[in-house]
Amino acid sequence: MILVEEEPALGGHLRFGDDGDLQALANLRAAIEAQTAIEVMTDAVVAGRYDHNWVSVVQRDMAHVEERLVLARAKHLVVAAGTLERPYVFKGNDLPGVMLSTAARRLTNLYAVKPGDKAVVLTANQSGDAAVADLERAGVEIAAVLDARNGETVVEASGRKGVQTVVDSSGKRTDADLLVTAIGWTTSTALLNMAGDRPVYESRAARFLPSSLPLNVLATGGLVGDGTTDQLIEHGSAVGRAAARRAKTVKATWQGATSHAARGEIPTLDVDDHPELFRSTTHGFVDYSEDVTSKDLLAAAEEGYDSMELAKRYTTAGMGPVQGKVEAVNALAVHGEAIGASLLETSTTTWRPPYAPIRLGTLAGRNREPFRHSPIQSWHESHNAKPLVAGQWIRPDHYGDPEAEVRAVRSGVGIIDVSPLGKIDLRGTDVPRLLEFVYVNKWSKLQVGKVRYGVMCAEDGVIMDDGVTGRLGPDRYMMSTTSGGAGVVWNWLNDWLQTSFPEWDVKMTAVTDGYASINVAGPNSRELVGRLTEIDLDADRFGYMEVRTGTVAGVTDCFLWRIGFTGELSYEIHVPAGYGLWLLENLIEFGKDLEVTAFGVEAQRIMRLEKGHFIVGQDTDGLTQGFGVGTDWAIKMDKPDFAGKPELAWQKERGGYPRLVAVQTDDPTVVPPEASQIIDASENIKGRITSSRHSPTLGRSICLAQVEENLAQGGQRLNIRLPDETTVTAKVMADQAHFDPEGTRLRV
Amino acid sequence: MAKVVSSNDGDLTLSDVSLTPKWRVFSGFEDVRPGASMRLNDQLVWSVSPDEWTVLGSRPGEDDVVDLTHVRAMFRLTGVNASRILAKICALDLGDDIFPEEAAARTLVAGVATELVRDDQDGVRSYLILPSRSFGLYMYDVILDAGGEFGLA
Repeated sequence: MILVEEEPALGGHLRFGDDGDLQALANLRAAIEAQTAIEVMTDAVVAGRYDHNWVSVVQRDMAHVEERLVLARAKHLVVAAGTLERPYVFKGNDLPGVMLSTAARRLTNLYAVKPGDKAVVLTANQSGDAAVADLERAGVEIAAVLDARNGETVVEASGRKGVQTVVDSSGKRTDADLLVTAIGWTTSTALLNMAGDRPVYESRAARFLPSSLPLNVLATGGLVGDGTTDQLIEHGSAVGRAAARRAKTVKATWQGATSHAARGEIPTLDVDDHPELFRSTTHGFVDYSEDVTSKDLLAAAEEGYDSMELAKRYTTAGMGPVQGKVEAVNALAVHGEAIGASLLETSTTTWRPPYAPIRLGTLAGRNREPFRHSPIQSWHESHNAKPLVAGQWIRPDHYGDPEAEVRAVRSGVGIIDVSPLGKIDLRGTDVPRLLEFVYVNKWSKLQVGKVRYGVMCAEDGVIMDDGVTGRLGPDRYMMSTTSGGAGVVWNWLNDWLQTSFPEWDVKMTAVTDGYASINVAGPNSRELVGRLTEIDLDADRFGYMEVRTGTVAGVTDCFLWRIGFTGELSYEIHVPAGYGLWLLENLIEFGKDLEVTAFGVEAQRIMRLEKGHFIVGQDTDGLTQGFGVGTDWAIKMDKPDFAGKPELAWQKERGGYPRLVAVQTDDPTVVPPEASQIIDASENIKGRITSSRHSPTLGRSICLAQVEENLAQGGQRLNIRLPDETTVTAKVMADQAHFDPEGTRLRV
Repeated sequence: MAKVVSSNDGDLTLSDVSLTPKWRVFSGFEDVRPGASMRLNDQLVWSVSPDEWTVLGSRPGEDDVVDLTHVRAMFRLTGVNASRILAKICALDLGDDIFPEEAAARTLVAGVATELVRDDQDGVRSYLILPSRSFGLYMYDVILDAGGEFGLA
């Protein structure tokens, strides 16, 4: 149970009440302290109530936190927001020294501040009467008491810097520096309104009262009626018990019980008679924060703003920081007077969250943006890696000179941290069936020790991910996904397994973070890796697209596969993550004489572009289906079924889809920025550059581009429109790979 | 070795216990239902989804066992205010009647998919927090940040 109190201490008006009130308050506080299940939040306010009792609590002025938002789902919400004392509208009601009775009592009783020397008190209720007694006790001379219950009232307060003279309804002038008014209450129904209540005006009590509340919202205290302190406590207690009973019923229902316990009797609380006072015979301020007077409201009605909704927006009454809490009822009363109707009887005010102002920073909360580090991030940082934000991963973009890194790999050996590569451990006898289903190519004959490249399409045939999967043992496979795609693929596989193939024996475990993955690439990679492992790397016995498990640099439970995103002979070593730094340092130590070079994502991207390998999401987009990206050979339409097959069949039959092709500009020094348009003679867009770089290997610019079908043939001339609106000429290459299209460097 | 951060008065501790052996199994612990955990000799076993169990401690004897030791970071947050810290970064209701001792869940903690297990220590409220390893540093910092007002530093 959470008890939310807007003031710094519990107690409401009892805090500045008489001895009896203070004793009652002490008893209540003791009762609350005895209940360990009650969490008390002071300096806090429920700012909003939303569907299903989702409540937002603004908590302020804590030792370590200035302001924060607490969100809670209340089984039952008990609103005991009480009432606010309403100011009276008369000439001079904004003068210093004009004060509400609760303010005067608070100053004298709670803070021991004497609010003035000589007072006039206008009272219509017990609060005003009590203020008279409190002021007298504080040594304030009571110059006059005007009893509104007998028709007496205030007409004007005047003075230079504060109240000096008060004129009453009989025309009598009284000298005073304090004018205390107690002319009525405004119920704080905001939370009830937010729960769907439409409070109704009770003229007998001169205030709004709740009408109908949902079952999970209850109200007590001055919000619903009047009574002695004992009566109010008794009512609050009964409401609290009812809320607890209802909450218990809700819990039982959640837990499967079928009983519907009684709603619990909520006693009624009577209301005291109270005269209706809003405005005197003179004009004064209605909205103190927006400087709107009763005269302004009458003038607005005169000008034709004869609806409160319009008059409000015209005069801005109720639109200031107070947001209607203090002034809404007076505004309604005065506007009703202006148009000759009792608006209070027919209208209600709309309260929207937040009830109290909330800082934007509080709503935003702490800036928490999850990031992911590879197990060897510390090494990248200490070697001046330029960080690349790749989704949630922070990766090394390069270590100073990406082109030099490319040359090092092509001529010798380089290492790159590819730990973010998605990895899914697959076990069970039905793994091949799963692979057959989610990849477009064939998997049933993959032998132990072999690796295969696969493309995954969604059901609309659009390419969603690609990667290699290796068979590590008879019933054990390791699937790799793109670095950003691991989560999507994980959900995709789970979706199929749980909804379509629950009987399949497939056990999946996401193990991306379990391995530090380092790709060792370049003609000297076999030499380097061979220095760290007993695994036989001989070209005849560990061929291209094969995988081995074993020990590397003394670390057991590793696997390494021979693949070639960079186009070079390369081994991707996967060691249990905690050993990542160890492996990296060993590679560097043992590769010193080979001038092993760390390379980053940028160098890898250049090399894959030289090889014409596409990147899902870079060279493909949300409309790129399986055919047309250079992997048509992999799509096996003779498989009985696989995800995306019907759409791919239609794509092939339909034709006319864009093709991914290698493009080279005639001027080798021009690198068309990615997304540059490919246009025809009439300047119609016929495609776009999807990837482009300067190739240090070829000493010229290279591109991948999506072009319309009729422009995809090798030798086709293209016009590329650059962002500066100049056009350069280019040609489509016969092969998708700009470099080593036969792949001889991979198969050494 | 566990790295431990404590509050000034020793009421709260946050330990990095990532090196504890952790295993994923797919059978053998059917008595442990999703959402629950159980202590078995030197093992703590829990489940947050059907037909999958996480085991802390010695390697289970089942046929299919995946080593999660390096896959997950693991933090232990202990202290009477532990749930108040977590409430700031996790929307799960950690009240005793909803998430009591031995409860287990997969939920979001500070925006990261995380397994959470209530595993009280000598009667003191304690949670095991297991995000994926790559989020370890982030998670550690976030918990420290959330715990600052309770003296965790």
